[in-house]
Amino acid sequence: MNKNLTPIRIHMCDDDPDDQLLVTDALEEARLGNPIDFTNNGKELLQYLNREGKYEHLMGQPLPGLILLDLNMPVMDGREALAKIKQHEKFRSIPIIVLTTSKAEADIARTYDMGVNSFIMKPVSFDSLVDMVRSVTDYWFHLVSLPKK
Amino acid sequence: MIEFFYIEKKYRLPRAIVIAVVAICVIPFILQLFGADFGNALHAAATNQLSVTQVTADDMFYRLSGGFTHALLEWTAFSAAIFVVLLAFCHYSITNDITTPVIGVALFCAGAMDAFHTLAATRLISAVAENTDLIPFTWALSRVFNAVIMIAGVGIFLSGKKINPNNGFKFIIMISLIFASIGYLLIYFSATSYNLPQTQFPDAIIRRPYDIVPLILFLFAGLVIYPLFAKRYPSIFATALLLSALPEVAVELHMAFGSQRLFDSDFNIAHFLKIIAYVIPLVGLVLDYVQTYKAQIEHHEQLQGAHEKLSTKAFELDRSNTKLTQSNAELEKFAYIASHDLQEPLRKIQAFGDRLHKRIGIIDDEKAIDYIDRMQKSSTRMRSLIDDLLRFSRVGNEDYCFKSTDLNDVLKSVLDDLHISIKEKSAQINSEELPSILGESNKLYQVFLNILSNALKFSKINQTPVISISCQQILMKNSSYWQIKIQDNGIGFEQEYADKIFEVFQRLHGRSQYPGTGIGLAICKKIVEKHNGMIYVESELDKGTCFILLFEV
Repeated sequence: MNKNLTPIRIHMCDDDPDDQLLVTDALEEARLGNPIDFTNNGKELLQYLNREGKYEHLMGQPLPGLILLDLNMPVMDGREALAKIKQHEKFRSIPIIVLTTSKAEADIARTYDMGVNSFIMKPVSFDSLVDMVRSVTDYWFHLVSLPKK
Repeated sequence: MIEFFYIEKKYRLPRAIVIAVVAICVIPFILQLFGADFGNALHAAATNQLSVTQVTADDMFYRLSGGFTHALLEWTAFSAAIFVVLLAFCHYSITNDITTPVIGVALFCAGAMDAFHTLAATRLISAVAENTDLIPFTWALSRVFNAVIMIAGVGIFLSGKKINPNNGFKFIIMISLIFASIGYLLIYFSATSYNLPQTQFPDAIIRRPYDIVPLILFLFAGLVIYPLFAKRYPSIFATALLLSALPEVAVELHMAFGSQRLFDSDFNIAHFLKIIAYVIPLVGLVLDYVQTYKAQIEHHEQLQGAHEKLSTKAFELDRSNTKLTQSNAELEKFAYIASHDLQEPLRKIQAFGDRLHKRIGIIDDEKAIDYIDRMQKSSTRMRSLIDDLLRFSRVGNEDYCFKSTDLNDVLKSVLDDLHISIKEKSAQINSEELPSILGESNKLYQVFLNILSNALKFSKINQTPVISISCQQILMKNSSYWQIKIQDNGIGFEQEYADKIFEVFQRLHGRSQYPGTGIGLAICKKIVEKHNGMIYVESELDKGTCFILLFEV
């Protein structure tokens, strides 16, 4: 298999299984072949990226090309995880999109300060979620150039 | 008649004192009837003219015993008068009641006259007339003076209006000077006169006719003046004064009808009773003082009680105020969090509703699609309600950063943003020059946007909307306010709903008729209040509505 033709993996870190399902459905609806996997909080996300703990078996596999990050989560919330990732030498180039229900101006300002790439409010209707998934993947996977790993 | 002498219970003297006084006045007379003699017997040596050349010191004392007794009795009376005047001034300093010091001074002057009379009689001040003339004459004189001055001192307060207590002290000083100088002049005249009229007629029925005058005067005082005074200025002192008329009259009876010569039984009884006459007002003053003091303590305790109650109340009020502020803040926080969290499941309902809608579209069941449509519409509405609630609670929770804001600029940007609907309705908008106030421009923008878009929304179908914005400076509760009026010619409403429209989600019209959740004016009110301003509305159905904004200058 040609590595370049493998669709880029999307990772979603969100404690809400409904949202996980909806994003999966939206990807399908948008006829995007990108695989997606999930973690439920910031701590799991870091383990996932570091290939530690229950993600040890993923060792050697490529890192996701895009992370959808919720802010309000148990154990470790999105803000803390974001700070850790953006300080990490290897992970900080992965585009991170905050996908949250928070409308707080403070959250928007703070996460951009911490180096988030986009801040998106979770769309209300399924159709707009599909649109969002489509434009996000289109932008990050086709339009922009990212550093080679 | 009885009513005239009626004394209110709280101004009465203790019964024991009254009985004692009556007894003291009557008992010497009764004892005299049984043969008792209170006089100073003439010492054998005194009558023996032959031994004049060989008088021993003891003889001198024996001879003078009557004079000593007289001096002692007089001086005791004078001392009582001193105490009366002192206490009267104490009383004045506490109660500011000028009647007591004036009467006290009158009594003191009478006492001083007695003292002069005694000093003259004992030759301690120079007197030229014979003692047998001088003593009865100056006695009668001082008695008349005593009666007159008391009637004058008390009578002052019966005539005309009450004296302003603020001028009291001057008045007291003036009266004292007048009384004292009259007293002094009288004594001076008596002491320097060689020939004093005869005052004693030992064999007549009226043995001392001069004492008839004070007798009548004291009767007049006791029956008319003192009761009137006690009615007008009731106090224990006034009652005591009234009672003191009794020994005074008794004194005069003993003197006028009893005393045949100096230092005899009636003479001494009269002098003794005169002391009583001075002591009774003293007792009255003391009792009055005690009563005043007790009343003040009681008053003070009451005041303290009231104060304690008040401070407990204030404390409770403060606490409930803190609680209220706290619970208010909590409520706003709660509204924010609740509405924030309510959004989550709602979003899911909508998203999965969308999914369901799509799936059912495939099986083509019209009814099911209709149900889902209705469900989706409801959740959309719920979403806008929650959004509004969130906006509302955010307005209350946010910190405001006040800057000088030109309301003309705010209005201009509102009109710019509304220009489409203004054009659509061909609305006419007139505005006066608006002031600059301390505020947050984007919040004030919301207020003006809301009111103006309402004015456009609730316009009459067949009439060009005219919106007039006027401004003037007004004074309210000592502070200056900008009063901004936004008047429209729209559909208006009945004034009774004026408060309701500022409440959250309160609407006066059906949703289908005029869209909206009914949060706008609630937000406006909150914003204006956050600016320490006020907003209210005056409206008339079918005439139009006028929103009035008040901001501190």
